[in-house]
Amino acid sequence: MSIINLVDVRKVFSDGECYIDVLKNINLTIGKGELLAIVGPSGSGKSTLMNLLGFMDKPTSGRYLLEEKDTSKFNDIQYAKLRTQKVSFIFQEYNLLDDYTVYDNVELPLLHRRMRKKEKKELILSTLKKLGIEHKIDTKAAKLSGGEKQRVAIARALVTGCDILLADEPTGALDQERGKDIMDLLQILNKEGKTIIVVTHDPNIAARCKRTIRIVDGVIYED
Amino acid sequence: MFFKTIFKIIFKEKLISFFILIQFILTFFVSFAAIENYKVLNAQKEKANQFFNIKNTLVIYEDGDRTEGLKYIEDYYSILDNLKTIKGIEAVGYYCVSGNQNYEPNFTSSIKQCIYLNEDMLDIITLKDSDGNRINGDVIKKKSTNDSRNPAIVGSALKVKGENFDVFYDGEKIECTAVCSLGEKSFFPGTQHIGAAAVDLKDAVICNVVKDRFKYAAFKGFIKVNGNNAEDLKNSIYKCFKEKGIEVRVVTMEEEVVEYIKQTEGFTIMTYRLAIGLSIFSILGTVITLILSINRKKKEFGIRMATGSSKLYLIGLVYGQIVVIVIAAYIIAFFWEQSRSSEDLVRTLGLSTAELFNISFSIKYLLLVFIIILVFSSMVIKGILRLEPGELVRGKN
Repeated sequence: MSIINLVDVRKVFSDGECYIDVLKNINLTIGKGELLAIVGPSGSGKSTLMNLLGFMDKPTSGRYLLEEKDTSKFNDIQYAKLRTQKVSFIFQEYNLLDDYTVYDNVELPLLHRRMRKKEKKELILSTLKKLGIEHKIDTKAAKLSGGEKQRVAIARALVTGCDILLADEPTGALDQERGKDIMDLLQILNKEGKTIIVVTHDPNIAARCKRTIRIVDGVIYED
Repeated sequence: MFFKTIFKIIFKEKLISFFILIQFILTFFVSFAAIENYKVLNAQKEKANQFFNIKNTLVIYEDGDRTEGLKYIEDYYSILDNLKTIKGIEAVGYYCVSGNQNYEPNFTSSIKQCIYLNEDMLDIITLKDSDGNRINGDVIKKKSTNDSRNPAIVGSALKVKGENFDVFYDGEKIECTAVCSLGEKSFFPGTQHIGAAAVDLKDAVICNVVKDRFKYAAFKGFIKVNGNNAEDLKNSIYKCFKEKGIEVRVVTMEEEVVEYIKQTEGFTIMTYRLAIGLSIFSILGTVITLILSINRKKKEFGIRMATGSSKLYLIGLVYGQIVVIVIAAYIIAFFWEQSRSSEDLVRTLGLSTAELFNISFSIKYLLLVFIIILVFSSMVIKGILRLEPGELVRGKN
C-alpha cells in the first residue's frame, strides 16, 4: 500500500532572471513501512525532493498524494499541520535550538497539539528513554555531544508519532561508530512500522536500506 | 501553550525584552503624566478664574537675586509707602520669598507691613481659634462667598509676641483670632501664618510671620486701586521703583491669571511633546528590534516551521512577545504614575484620583500604540512570510 505518491512533480527555482529546473517530472511511489535511501551527487536535487516530501516546500507543478490525498493545493497552515502530524524530519546538523533544554526541543512539535501537561511530559520522557538520553532532559542542547544531539533530534521526530520519518544525511556529522548507532536505531524504527526515507552520500548507509533511488540532474535515474 | 512559549522567548531574550520594557515604561509614564496634567490644567484654570477674579488689583513681581543695592525687604517699605501716596492707590500689600527659597519669610521683628490673604490655600488651611480649637479651612470656605475672598491688602503692622500676635488693621489693633500651620500639606511646607479677623472670619487675613532680617530672593506685591484705573497706574508704579533702580513687572490680576494659566499650559504642552517624542522613539526602537530579531532568528524560525509552526504562528509569537512586554510596561507605568500623583494637589483642585487619570483614553492610547507598531512593522510580517523552512534549516538564508 502506497503512503506517498508523487506524480509529474517539478520544482523550479528562480532568482528573478534565471529559472533552474531542480526536479523534472518526478514520479515516485513509496510504500508504507519502506526504508528508502535517496542517493545522488551534490546538486542533483535530492534535498529538494526531501523538502517536498517533508512539506517544507511546495512543488512548482505536479501532484503530491499523501495517503491518497492530494496535498498540492494545501495552504501554509495545512502544510504546517502535515509537518507535525504526518511527517517528521531528522537533519544532518540536528537543528536543535541551542539555548533551550532537551525537553524544550523535543516539546517543539507538541506545541501545536492539545495535550495535558502531564501527558506531554510522560510522552517526552518515554521517547527520551527509548533513545537512552532521558538523563539529559534538563541539559541545554548546546552542551550535548554530536551523537546526543542527533538522538534528541530523532526523539523530536518520534515524539509526534508520525508514520513517516525523513532523515537528511542523519549520520553526516557523526563519527563512524555513532553513525552506525543511529542507523541501527532507524532500522529498529522501520521494523516497528515507520516509513523511513534517508538522503545520503554514504553507500554503506544506502546498502542498509531496503530500496535505493538515485537522482541525477533532477531526474530519478535508477530505482 | 502559546503564551508559555512567548514567556519562554521573553526570558531567553532578557536584554532585548528589558530594553523594550524600559522604553515603554517611560513612554507610558510620561504619557499618563501628560493626560493628568491636562486634567490638572483644566482644574487649575477653573480655580484660577474662581480665586483670582479680583478686580482693581495690580501685582508687582521682582526677582531679588537680580537686584543690586536693595537686598532686604525692609528697603521696599519706603517705596511701598510712597506708592500709597499715588492718587488712585487704595492699599498696598506684599509677600516675599526668603533667601533660602523656602517661602518662609524670616524678616525682622520690626516688620511693618506683611499681610496677605492666601486665598488659594483655603482648602488646606487648618486654623486654631483663640481657645485652641481647630477651624478647618472648609468652615471658612462655607462662610465665605466669592465676593468676600478679596486679597487682604491692608497695609497694617504686625508685631510678634511669643505665640500670640498683635495684628493691626489699617493702623488699628485688631484681635488675633487664629494661628494656623499649613504643615506638610502646604504648597510651601513649614510656612507659619496667623489668621486675623477684623470683622468676621470670612475676612480672615493670613499673615506671614517674620523673625529675623533676611535677604530676600523674590518679591510679590499687591496694589489695590480705586476704580477701574489699574492699567493707567502701571506707569506710575514702574516710575516709583525705577527711581530706586529697581526693575519690576506690574500686571493686573486678569493678566496674572493669564500668565498663571500660560505657565501651566507650557508645562502641559512640554509633557505632551515629551510623550509624543518618547512614543515615536519607543515604537521605532521596537520595530527596529523586531526586524533585527527576524534576521537573527531565521534558523530558529526554520526549525519551528519544520516542527509544525505555521508562518501565522510565528508572526503571533513575534508580536505576542511585544504585546506582553508593552502591557507589562503599561501596568508598571500605571502604578508608578498613581503613586506619584500628589494627594494634596488632588484635594486642592477638588479632583478625585479617578478623575485625574483617564483610563478609557489611556486604553485607547495603548491600542493606538499596538496599531502603529503593527503598521510600521509590516516589513517584519513580509520578512516572515518570505521564510521557507527548507532553506532556513539548511542555512541558505
